[in-house]
Amino acid sequence: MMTTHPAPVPADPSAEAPLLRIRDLHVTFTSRTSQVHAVRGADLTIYPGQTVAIVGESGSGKSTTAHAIIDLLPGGGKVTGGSIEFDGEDLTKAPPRRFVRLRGSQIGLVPQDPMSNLNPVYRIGSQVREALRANGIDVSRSSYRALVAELGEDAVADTPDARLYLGSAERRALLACLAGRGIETAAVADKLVVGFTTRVEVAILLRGMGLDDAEALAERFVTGTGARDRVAGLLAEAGLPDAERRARQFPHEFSGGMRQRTLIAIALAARPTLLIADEPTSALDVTVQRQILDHLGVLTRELGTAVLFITHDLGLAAERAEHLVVMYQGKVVESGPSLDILANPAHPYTRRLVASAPSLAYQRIQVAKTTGEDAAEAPASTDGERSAERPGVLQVSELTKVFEIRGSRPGRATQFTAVDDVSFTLRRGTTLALVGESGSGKSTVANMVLGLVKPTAGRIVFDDVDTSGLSRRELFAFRRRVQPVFQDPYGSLDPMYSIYRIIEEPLRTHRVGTKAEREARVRELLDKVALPASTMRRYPNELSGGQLQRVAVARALALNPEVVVCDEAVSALDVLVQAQVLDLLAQLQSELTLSYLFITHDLAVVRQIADEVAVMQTGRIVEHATTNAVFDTPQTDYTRQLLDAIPGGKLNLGH
Amino acid sequence: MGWYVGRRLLQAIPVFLGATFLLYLMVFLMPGDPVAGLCGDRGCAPAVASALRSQYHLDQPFLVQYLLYVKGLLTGDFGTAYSGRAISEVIATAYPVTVKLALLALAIEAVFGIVAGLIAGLRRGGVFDGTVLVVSLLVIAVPTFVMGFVAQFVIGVKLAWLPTTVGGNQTFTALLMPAFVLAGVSLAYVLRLTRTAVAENASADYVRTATAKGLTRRRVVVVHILRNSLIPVITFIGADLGVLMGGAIVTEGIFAVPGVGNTLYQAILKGEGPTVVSLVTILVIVFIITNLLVDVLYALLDPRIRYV
Amino acid sequence: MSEAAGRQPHFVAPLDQTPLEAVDRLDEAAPPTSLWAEAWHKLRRQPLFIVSAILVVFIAVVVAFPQWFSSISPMVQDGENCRLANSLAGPTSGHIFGYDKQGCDVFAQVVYGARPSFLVGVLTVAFTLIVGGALGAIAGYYGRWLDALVSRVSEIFYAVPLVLAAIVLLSGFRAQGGVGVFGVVLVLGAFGWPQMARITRGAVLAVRSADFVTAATALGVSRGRILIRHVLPNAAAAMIVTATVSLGTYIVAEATLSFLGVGLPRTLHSWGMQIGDAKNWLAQAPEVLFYPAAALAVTVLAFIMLGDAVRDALDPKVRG
Repeated sequence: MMTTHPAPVPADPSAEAPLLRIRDLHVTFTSRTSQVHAVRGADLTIYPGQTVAIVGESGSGKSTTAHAIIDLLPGGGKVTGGSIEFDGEDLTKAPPRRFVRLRGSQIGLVPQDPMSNLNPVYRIGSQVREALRANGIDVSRSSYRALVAELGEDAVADTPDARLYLGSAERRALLACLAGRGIETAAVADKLVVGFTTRVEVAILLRGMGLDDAEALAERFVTGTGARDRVAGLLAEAGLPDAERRARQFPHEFSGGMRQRTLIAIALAARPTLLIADEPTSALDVTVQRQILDHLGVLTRELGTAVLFITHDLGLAAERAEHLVVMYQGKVVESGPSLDILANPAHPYTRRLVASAPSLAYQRIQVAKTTGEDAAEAPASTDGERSAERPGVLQVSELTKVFEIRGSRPGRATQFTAVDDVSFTLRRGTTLALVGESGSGKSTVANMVLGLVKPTAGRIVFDDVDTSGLSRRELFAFRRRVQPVFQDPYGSLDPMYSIYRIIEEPLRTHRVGTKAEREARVRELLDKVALPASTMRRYPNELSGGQLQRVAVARALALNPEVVVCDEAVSALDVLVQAQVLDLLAQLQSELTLSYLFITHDLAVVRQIADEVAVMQTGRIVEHATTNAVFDTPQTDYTRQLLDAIPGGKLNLGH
Repeated sequence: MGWYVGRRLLQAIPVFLGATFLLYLMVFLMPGDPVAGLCGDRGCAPAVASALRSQYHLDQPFLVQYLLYVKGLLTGDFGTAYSGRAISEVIATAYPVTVKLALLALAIEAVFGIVAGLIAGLRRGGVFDGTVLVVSLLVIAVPTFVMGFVAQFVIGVKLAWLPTTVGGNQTFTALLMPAFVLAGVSLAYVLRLTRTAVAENASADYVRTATAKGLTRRRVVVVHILRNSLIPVITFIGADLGVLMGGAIVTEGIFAVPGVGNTLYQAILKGEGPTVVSLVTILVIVFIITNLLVDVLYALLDPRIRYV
Repeated sequence: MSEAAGRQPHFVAPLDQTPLEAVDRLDEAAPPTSLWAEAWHKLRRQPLFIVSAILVVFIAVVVAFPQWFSSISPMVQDGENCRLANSLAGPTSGHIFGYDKQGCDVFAQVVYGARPSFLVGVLTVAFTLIVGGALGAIAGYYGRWLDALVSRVSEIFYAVPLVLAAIVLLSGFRAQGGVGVFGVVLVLGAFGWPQMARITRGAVLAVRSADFVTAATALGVSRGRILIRHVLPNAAAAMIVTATVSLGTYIVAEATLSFLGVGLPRTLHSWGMQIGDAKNWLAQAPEVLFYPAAALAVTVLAFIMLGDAVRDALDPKVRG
């Protein structure tokens, strides 16, 4: 679809002036009680058509820098120093009115969270149309035609044919005309996209079919579109299938990926020269993320749009941008050509980031064995050996879960099979990763293993006992031995409880020890997860996500369980913190012979922690093997797709 | 959409039956002999009293009385007031006045509440916001009847800008002051609700996206912030119609409006059970119907609801 | 790419300007603060809270010890307190608010009128907290048919406007000289609980699906214990805010009932009744109406402002 666009001629970059130049930018957030200096002297340059990525953790000031460019800082935020030069104009001195003109038409924004960035009460099409109208884009080219009528075609210097789009009625007429000549139209129909295919392209297409009067036909049938058709065209351009119909739907009827495509269509509608993409795909599944970023890359290259790409993922940034800017605590610590930075990180922070990026890691975390360990276990075995010889602690066989979905009217209830005939064995002291995208049923499996959701069919055998037949008391005893760690560290700890009470709760519930013994145990557990004992007097709202996740691990370990179910346990954490928690989990496993059922969507993490991998797709396990086998010789297309989608996975850094 | 309305309608039936039952029970439990009230101070002959009893089904068990009452309701027969007038006739004269008053009050709270709430929400923390908040708190804190008397005294008597009472003169000017007094508390709530919703929506992600498209501030405010903030506000205002009609009992008393509130208050004072039940039942029906309409309106305003 | 590299060279910030900190450092020096401690910390600095809290405490003292403020008790019906000769007389020394139509001291009436109004407010809120809170929590937490039942029943009570229902119920007791504080509380509570039930149900529903509840279940904590130990404490904030604000509403409702002559018995001299009496002489002596009305307004205002301040302090969206 894209290939018919004329490629822009790359001008000599050294002769060009930069499109955007940020110098010594300072941004401060002021609230009634405090002042936060979010950006403290950031420098950044983007040349026309270039893609530059800002990489940093949450709180590094990367998004704030981006928002400062188009004056979209949230309440209380102000540029307090430095300059932002866009196309030679200092934007820090521009009045609000100037920004209204710049936004959309010169600088577009693809925001972070597709779920909250579309207005829920308006149809998709009208939200895209708004972007055209706001920037005064004359879709039907009526003013141009008026000018031609007045001055004559020759006097108006414009090449309309490349900007005249096919309308929906015209498309029908053209197809009817072709069919009338006895031409097979099925093949060409797909290439004629309403509001997207131009007169020039139609002419080329028809000539390619061997029609002599191609130009005449194109001129006759492609005479311009209405706004509605152009909106459909823009959505189609952003990769939304069936765009004409979809434009009439509401945001809540769209999946996350479709919403993000809509947001891209909106951002590019007025053909800005700079596109700010703020973590555009962080909320999406990896395969969708890849498709959308590929598409965005092709589009911006063809349109010659410069891109400022904001991301927390170093691998992703290096893969998508030619130039990287690494930010840390409001400052730029390192910037330069992507591959150069990845290969030779100079600043210690960048080095740390490169070392921790899961997408760039290539093997399982090996815990350094301490001396005095059993000689038979001492040699670090590879993952295949590690698992195969061990006894199973948890066997899941033919597990199925069917949910009843209540329909919009009585009798419309539908059945949804979330988990379909899943079987696996978790061996003692090893990690089995259950990998899948959202909706694959992996979390439902976790909840069934934890005894939180009743299976529709199938068996879960823990330590040779079928858990479905447990009495209340047996279930209570079972809970001691299988413990969870959830994804959201902020949500999984009661905000009203002190850390001490949180970790003590399982001990108290199971009546373990005296008060003094329990306190000693809490101290011991905090020490195990590398938190100071003083933490126990604190409350969840005082700790960071990573610290909270370590508290959640301590709580899970309080009762000396045999199996820990980690449901996306590190997904919400920043890379460095994520690496830390993964290290901790690996260390605890070797110390306590824990077995992990590790639920995740992130294959990159899997490589670091798992011995075995089971890949799930729409409720079924499609592939199950040792980690090395899955990564080196994937057997199914879906696994290959997932592997391909790991950002930065293809970067050759000479490992 | 049709199913959504249908489900709401079905849910309203038990509420209607329950509420009328509750009312009937309350009036039934009132101490004192209704027949004594009927006969006045001199009392009736025993034969007349027993005839009256059977006329009003007072000799029947409570449940039978209630069922007979509901049957009457469904056939449009509200029974007879002790004065001998058909209650439906009493309703027909009293309701139009109260509806007029309540709708006027509704318009006042909607216009002033939304406009002031929008400005306050957009300039949160500013002078206007502060002033409006204090005034709205005062309006909520000062009881309606105090407000009514003060307004009547100052605007009606001292300044003589508006008529002090309504009576038979149910013109727009005459109803204006009572409507303002009636709307007072609701207006303050609408204002606060709008302010909160506007302030919340103003920092929503989709509003930032709309700004990033290049829309003017004015368009962002009207098309995105205000439109989305109106969803809870309109729901509140809609449900408020029933509340206003119920609350008219105080306001109508002060300004001598010959509406439901006044008629109801007189009936209560005279212990006219059937009239009280019927008048309040209509209020409850109005309340249930407006709530039903609000649910439909809500679904129309928020596309997410329609498909649930 | 090489050209790009040429114009944008590899830049590294000097380390002394960008010192590296430990990953995920924990500030051990900061004092531990629970959510409530944090809210309290915020509240202490808020003028709105300070003013309203002082007012509420002051009113509570007046309610508990009216004799500290007025040597004259309007409860005692003797010639000492009311002299017709003083009818509607202006303020004199020792009687700063002047006299009403019966020649009674207005200041004493306003001071003693605080008790019934305050008691009705506090007790009604306690009633709604217990009944509405319990029903709402059960409906929200256990769901299914219990939820449907509680929701329908509360809708029935909700469909009858509060003041209207109270008037209908209480008017029957007029002949007996009213029902006293507990009667009014019972009636207001009977029609006021659905609001608290709704709020509690919503809050409980939100907490119920939180991960920490699932985590507690997985630990083996029983359902009932989770409700009491985890769900209710987290739903408490919403309930407290609603309670404080509705306290003001109930005081106004009581005043309205007394004003209409169907509320508290005349012997209690509630503010509503004082206003009702004074309205007849508004033209001659507007201040007789002003004082009880102002006392009422200030009390209600104090509770509403308190509720607002507490809401702001507890609101998770505002919370940093």
